[in-house]
Amino acid sequence: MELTATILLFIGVVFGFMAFTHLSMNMKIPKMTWMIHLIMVILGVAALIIYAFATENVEKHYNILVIFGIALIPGLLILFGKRGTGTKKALAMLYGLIGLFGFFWLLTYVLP
Amino acid sequence: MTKYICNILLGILMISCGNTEGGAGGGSHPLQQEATATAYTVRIPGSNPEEQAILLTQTVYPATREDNAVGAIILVPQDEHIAFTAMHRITHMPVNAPMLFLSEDNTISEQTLREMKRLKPDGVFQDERTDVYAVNVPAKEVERIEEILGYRVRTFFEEDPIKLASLLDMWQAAMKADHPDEVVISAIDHPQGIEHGIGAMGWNAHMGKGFAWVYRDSIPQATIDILKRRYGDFGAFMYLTGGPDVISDKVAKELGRYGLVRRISGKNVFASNTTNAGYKDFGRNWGWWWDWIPRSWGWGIAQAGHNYIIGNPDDMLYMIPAAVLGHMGKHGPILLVKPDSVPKATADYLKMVKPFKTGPQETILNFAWIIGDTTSISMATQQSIDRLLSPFDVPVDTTAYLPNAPILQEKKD
Amino acid sequence: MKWTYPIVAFIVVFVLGFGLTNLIKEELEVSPWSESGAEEGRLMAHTKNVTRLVNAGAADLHAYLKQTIPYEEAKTTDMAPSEKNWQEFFLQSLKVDPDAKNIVVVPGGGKDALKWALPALYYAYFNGSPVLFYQNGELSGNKGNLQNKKAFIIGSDDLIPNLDEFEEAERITAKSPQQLALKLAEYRDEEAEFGWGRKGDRDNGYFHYVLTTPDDALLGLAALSYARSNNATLLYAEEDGGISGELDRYAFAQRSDWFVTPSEGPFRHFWIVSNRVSYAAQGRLDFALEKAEYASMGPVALGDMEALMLIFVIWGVASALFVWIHALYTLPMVKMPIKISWALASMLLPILGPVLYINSYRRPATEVEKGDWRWIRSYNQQSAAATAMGFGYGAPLMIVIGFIMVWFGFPLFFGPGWEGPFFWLGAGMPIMMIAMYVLAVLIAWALVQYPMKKNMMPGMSNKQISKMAFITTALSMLAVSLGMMTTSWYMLMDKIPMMPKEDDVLWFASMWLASFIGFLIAWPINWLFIKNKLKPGNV
Repeated sequence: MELTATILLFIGVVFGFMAFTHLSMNMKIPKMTWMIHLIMVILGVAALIIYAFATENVEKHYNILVIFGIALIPGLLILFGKRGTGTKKALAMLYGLIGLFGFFWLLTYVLP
Repeated sequence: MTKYICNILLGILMISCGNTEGGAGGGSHPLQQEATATAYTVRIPGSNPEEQAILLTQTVYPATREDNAVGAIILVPQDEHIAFTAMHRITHMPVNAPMLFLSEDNTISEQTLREMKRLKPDGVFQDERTDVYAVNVPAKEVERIEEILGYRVRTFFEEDPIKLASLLDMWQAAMKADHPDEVVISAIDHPQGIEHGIGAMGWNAHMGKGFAWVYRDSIPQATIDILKRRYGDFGAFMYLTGGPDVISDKVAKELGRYGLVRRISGKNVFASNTTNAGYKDFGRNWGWWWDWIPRSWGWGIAQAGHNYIIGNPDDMLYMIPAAVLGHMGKHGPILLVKPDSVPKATADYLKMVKPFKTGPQETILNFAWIIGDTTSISMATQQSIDRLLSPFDVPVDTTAYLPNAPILQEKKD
Repeated sequence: MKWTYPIVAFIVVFVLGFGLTNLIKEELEVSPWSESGAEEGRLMAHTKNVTRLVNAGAADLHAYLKQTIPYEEAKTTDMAPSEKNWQEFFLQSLKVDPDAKNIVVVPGGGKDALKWALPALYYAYFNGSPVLFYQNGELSGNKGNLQNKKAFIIGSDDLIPNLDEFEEAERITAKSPQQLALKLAEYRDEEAEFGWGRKGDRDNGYFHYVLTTPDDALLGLAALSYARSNNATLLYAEEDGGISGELDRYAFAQRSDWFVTPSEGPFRHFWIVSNRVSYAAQGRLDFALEKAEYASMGPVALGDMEALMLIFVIWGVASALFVWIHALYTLPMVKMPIKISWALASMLLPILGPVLYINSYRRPATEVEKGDWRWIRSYNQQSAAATAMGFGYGAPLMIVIGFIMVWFGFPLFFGPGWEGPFFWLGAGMPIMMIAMYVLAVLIAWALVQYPMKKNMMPGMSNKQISKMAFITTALSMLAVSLGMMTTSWYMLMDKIPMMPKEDDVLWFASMWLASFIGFLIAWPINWLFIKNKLKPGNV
């Protein structure tokens, strides 16, 4: 489950990065790109939550869920807030940095 | 200033990122009662080589995190010459490996396997992230390590210790892109060759220099090959462990073709090892226009404030893995004593390095590890060593202070 | 085609971001393996820097130490200490030094008083200071010959008030016995000769410590001999068996550094006498005291050189963020690949990167074609910009490849076939360097320089472009490598005694420094490219 979450989140990261590249060039983000990002991240986090409940391992990755929770704030602001591109860029950068940090933190457990 | 920053950061982090609470640490440890601690010594009480090796890895590596677990593990059969050669060349950084033994029938015992699991090697990044160095370990056992523990194993298979030294020399040179020009040389066919060289082996486990074997009266080809590989300005710097009775003058002269020859020797094995503890050779080795690298070999300890690893010359299989105590922790040279007394050479050396009060609220302190259970070194001898290490006077007869230390946990309140 | 640049940027951000996160995580972890089998199968409790005296109570421990520390100078009285007789036990054990310059005044009475008194009793026993116990408004203890001595009144305000019957007195208190013990460990009044004076920045003393919990203070008292035999200071762990952040910090400050070999003194040691202290705490203390080389001070602790280099890396990351954000918002006429290369270059060029970047764009520009702008720059500035274009993609890629190799381990080739003067070609470092150069050139050529050149010189054939891109990439990276490889070899193999691993600040810092030097070397060489119009320097 840990590995599934990592793979799902990795796909999420790749599409998130693509979305951010569009945004930084002031281009409209294709719907597919951000939708895939959204779905993958939701599935990935869901997998993490299931892992936390199912595992007998001491490490339950609560800290990663907290980091993603923090990333959610700018994430939701981009999704639902009606803001200009300038603000969106800043929010996306913040969201991306926090989200990536959380993903890397997970990766430190998964990689050999 | 950096320390304050470090302090503040650490304080915050300790609170936010983990804690050290847990079950009581003074749980039941089967050998704790035998592990007698005096003011300046602690006994590591193995009753056979396998157990001794496990006790040593447990002492040196608590394995509560990557940084206090091992880099890799050396696994060898219970063969003095093989173990001695491996400990000489593999232990030191960047490998950071303690030694564990196969059982007498050349298999990995359950206890050793568990200890290998506990040690969680990080893998040596300079060498393909190797977790275990298996020297002359049967293929079946190597497979078991890979299957059960999932560790990456590098195998060295060479029955002849002389050729093994050469193989390990090539491997080390590749890993560091350099040959250490200092080479320790011990006699393989002298009954006390290892005993004379054990202290020097301790330095190599601590500092990672070269090693080769010779016969009492001749030099094997593999050793000549090792020596020819040195690229110092004037070849190798060779340190023969033992006097002309151990390695003949003829061999010493022949070795002179490959560089500078020195002897680290005393009248007996005890004196050879105290000489080693005080021995230091440094000076020119290699220079080129802009940079220069001096040679540096030996502990050179002639003053108070150090640690020693103390054992019995009859227990070389206990003492070889004990060199890991010179690789981590307080580090320090190996000294030898008799089971029931401290020989004159060792006592004289310890008197030279005896501490004394150095300030109103300070004293320099010595420390020592006692290797083996009370059949290897008696309680009385441990106490005599303690007295010699202490900053207090040594009375004429040290056996007066003694022994009958009650065993902890035996008496109840 | 335009996607190739962000892909390279993604690889760099992903790998280096992961590396730095991993670094942070490993430094923050306290004792992650203590719950998953680190203590399993242990045969005895001692570790190399921490000795644990497992015991069945104060009487047991006292009797044991009477035998194992038989020295007249460190003798305690024969009777076993208990909660009732602890004052008497101490007074009988204490050998008062008539020349002592201080008096120690501590609370007397029950167990609570012992908790507060014990750290001071250790020093009093060591120093031979007369000790007075305060209980119910009365003082008892060594009452004779108190003239010309400074009194130290120690303990919590609840148990002992400020007393005014002394000629000269100093009050020492803290919020908890744990904090009081730490305070006394660091405290020193040189004139009155009171306190251990074991401050964090003392690097040359042989300091021993006895560790117990306040609830097990009686065990600490039973181990009083250590105060004289080993000059041991008493410290307290927490009641739950863990150690506080303050004690952890103090223990790390006690880690000594070595300059020549780790066998040089001093070393420090803990003696745990309470069974309640956890294995995780013992492992942490053992690790905290482990001697380390000066440059890095070992894992977790921050060495002087490490601190300096860490600042360098942090400034680099900050510079990259600054350049990226600045370019994103203020330079719409600069193309994305150029922005990315400036940001990545600035990551490895702390301060210098942003300075060159600002200097490159705060000047007049002309639009040569629609959407294609050129800035008017000096040759010097042009070559800096041209260097940054290649360096921005190439150097981080080299670090990325280096990191991946260190993470998975260097390949190693040795054996009879590899003997001779070129044996070192089988070694990890040279292989890493060659791989770093070759792979970085190939990636930068295929994903960055070829598309960039193609975009700029639409007239040329693909073959010509790819050849030209390859030559300029290989040459300019060679120039960077000249500085980068020599510096990284010098740092990793020569200057730092223990080659740092991928989870070490010094590994990253060495690479950062090496890249910086690589840039400085490549800058004048790029001047030749600009002169010969092989590279554009004004985009």
